[in-house]
Amino acid sequence: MVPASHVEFLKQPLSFWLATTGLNNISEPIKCTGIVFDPATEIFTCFVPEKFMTIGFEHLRENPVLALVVTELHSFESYQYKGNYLAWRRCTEDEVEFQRGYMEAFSDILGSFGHSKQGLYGAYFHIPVLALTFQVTHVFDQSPRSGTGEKVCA
Amino acid sequence: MTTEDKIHLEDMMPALQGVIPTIVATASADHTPNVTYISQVYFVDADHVALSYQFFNKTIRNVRENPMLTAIVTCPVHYDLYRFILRYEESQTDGEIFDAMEIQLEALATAQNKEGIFKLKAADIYEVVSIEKI
Repeated sequence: MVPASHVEFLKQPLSFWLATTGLNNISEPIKCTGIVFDPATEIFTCFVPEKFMTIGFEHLRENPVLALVVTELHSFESYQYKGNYLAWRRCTEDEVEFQRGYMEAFSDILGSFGHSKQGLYGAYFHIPVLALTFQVTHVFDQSPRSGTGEKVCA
Repeated sequence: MTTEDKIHLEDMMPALQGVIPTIVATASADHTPNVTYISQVYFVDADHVALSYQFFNKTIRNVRENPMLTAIVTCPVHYDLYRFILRYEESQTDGEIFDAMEIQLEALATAQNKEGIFKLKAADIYEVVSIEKI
């Protein structure tokens, strides 16, 4: 379902945001501090600071559907993956180190746009961090151009 | 939250200049979330903002079905994050707000060498239901 070309793309220091929705139909955008995609199972593991998940967990108890948008910040190439929430756990030390590396690279990109690297790093990255998994069910091309939103695979 | 703690839209002006793109999440009528970047959150008055839409996409379809939208706005001065809960009211394709947003968007496009993809198609007006620092 997920195109093979996405596997390498997703290893870059992209911008990652999740979203959940409760039965009140109010959605919650949630900043991710890294992701890992397993192409064999088509399961995403998304790393999220616990402080950003309060509303998200309330939503997931009511509605297990998740959306993940990934964006390359120079080209704005962007994809949205929708799927079903599976589980959460606390991150391992190795996963926290992985996120520190991701945040360094991601903050460097933000710094190249003139933003404070430390400012945005501090805004987004908070310990403890959780690992959420979800199974992909739909993929959409979300790059900013006419006709965007086209379904890539379902 | 006490009255003194309430965050007023007028106090958010630095975050409403489009310096750091805003992330927005919406939901379709069947509760499926959608999340995307937008270029502008434009101050209209003390109770309203306008969001820029360059593409008639899933976000637009969702707010026609379900008017609630959540935006995460980042202050470019202190790098604080704010959660805006918004309720869609109407879409404007001309007029004072549209013209002002179009000029601001052109400036952002020029700064980012993205002139081709920053064409404003509508200024969507939202009531600000709440603002909360995350």
